[in-house]
Amino acid sequence: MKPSLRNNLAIALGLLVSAVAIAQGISSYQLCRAGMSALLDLRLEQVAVRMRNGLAETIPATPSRGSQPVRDIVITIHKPGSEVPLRSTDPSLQLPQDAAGGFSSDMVAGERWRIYTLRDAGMLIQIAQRSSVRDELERETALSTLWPTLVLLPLVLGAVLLIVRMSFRKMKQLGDEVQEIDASHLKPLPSAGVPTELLPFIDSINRMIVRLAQSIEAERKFIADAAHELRTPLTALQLQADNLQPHIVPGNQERFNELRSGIGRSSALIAQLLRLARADAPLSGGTIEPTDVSRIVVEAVSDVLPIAAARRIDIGAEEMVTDKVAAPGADVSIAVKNLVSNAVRYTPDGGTIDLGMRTEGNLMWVEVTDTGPGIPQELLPRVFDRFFRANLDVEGTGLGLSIVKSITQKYGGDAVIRNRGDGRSGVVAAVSFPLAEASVRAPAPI
Amino acid sequence: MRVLLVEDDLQIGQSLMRALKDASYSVDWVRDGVAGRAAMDAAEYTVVLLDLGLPGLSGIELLRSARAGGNPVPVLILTARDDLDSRIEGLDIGADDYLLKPFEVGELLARIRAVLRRKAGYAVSRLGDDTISLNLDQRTLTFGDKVGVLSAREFALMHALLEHPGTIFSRSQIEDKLYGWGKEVESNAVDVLIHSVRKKFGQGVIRNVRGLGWTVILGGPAAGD
Repeated sequence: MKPSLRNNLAIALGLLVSAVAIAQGISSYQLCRAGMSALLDLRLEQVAVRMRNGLAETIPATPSRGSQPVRDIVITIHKPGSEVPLRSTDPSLQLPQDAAGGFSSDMVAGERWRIYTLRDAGMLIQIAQRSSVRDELERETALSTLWPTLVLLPLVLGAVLLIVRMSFRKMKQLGDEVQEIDASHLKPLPSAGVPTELLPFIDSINRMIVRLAQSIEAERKFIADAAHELRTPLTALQLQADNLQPHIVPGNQERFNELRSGIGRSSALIAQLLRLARADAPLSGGTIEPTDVSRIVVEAVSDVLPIAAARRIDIGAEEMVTDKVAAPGADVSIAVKNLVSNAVRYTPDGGTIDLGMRTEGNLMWVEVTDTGPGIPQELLPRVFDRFFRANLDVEGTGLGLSIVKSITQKYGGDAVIRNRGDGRSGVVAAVSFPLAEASVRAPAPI
Repeated sequence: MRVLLVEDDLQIGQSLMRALKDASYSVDWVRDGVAGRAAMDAAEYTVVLLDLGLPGLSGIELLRSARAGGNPVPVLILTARDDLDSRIEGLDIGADDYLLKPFEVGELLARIRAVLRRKAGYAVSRLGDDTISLNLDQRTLTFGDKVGVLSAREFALMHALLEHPGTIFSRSQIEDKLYGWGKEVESNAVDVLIHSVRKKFGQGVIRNVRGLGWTVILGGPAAGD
């Protein structure tokens, strides 16, 4: 088991409280017994003193035998030299007359007695009480002092657990917040209301978050700036090539077209790099207008329709949903159009591309299914890596799906690519975005 | 046709000069914002091609001060910044169009022509292109080698589709455009209409997009069939 501050503290405090309770119980039991014993002794002594003062006569000369309760004290008064007591509450009991003055314990008639002996003016006054009775009285009283401890102990233990748990709740909260931190959610932890012991950790984590955010931002900015700066020379190159066009002799036209397509490819790469840098940028906050995804799906199909028509690709939609999602239209559009344009590029002439929308939990999924060659299963985990290209025969930058992944995850959705499961070759590419709160379910138009 | 080119990059400037001259524009080229403002104040241009990242006075500031001074010259922004905010900012303060670097000469020339046409308030009496076109005055549709007069409803349908060629319209969108809101429309009215147009001009004139609706594609490969 992993060491836990909370459990350690709870166990230690629990043991400590129990030990204190036990020690307190034992000592108060002992003290109470001693006190009780002293009290009972005092009573014997007081009775003896009263007898000396002449109260002895109140005791009947011949008490009825066996009439005295077992628990009561026995009073015996002797005249000097007389074997038979002058007065006795229990004449059958023969207390030892040779006992020294003061308290003593003796076995009389098979029982232990506590005896107080007082010699005064030749009179021998003895007050006795059964030790067993005294023991019982002492035990009863002493035990009763244990009740408060017995009742309070569980309450204190419970309070200890509660206090420990409450003290650590803040830590648990912070722990949860720390776990939420990733590249797209780099928010400093709140230090308000945090125990001072945790502040050094919070401060240090916050400093790290700030440094991390800065370096991520620096990288993103560098990509954006680099892409931006690359555009200027590329623009010049493009214009120079265009200006050259009228002067290219027909025999060189094909080579010239290769040059231009090379320039086009560089432009596309730079545009994608910028898009990726933007997709990687953290959310700037503020409210997001809900986006109608069905409109974007229609737009995405419109965009590729001329190419699809020229290549006799049957592109269409299966199921449309009008729910709105909580992500900006521009970003949803980049994600959906990326999948659709991939599908068009990889689907052979005469193939089929199906778009579908569905809601699942709090997510809306847009699926694009093609009849292309599919992706080898072992390469699937890498399709979202930057610059990774599963198929090198088809032109591409290798950034499109990274952008899609970045965008969808930024808003709490996801992007998934898998091969078709219905026996045909091709992939199912899907993106999801969280549904907007006030999304109304209504049948799709058409 | 006099064009003012405000562009600080030497190579881009030189190439644009050549391209514009080849297209028979006369070009003044300045390389910073202050000179750009001076040129705009001094002479009247048909169109200004404005780079945003200029030394001295930025393109945005230059445009803002020109518009504040009441200069109505058409301005086409040429920029490497493609984020939505700077595009919106450029158009909001009075640019007429926005061209993202890198661009092709052909596209630049077409955008210049479009800006000039819009400024001149040129009314199109024709929608479409060489492959398919709708004559708005005579209400005739030309598709490939076929020409025919359209009925009022057919004309409304083709007008709606050709106004935004390439855009996919759903059945309900077409019904709204043709019959107005809240009108009871027979469920197959749109199909009947499309069928009658296809009967005259062939299947390829209006494209069916499975599950989504209908559209007209300019320069479509099936234009002839």
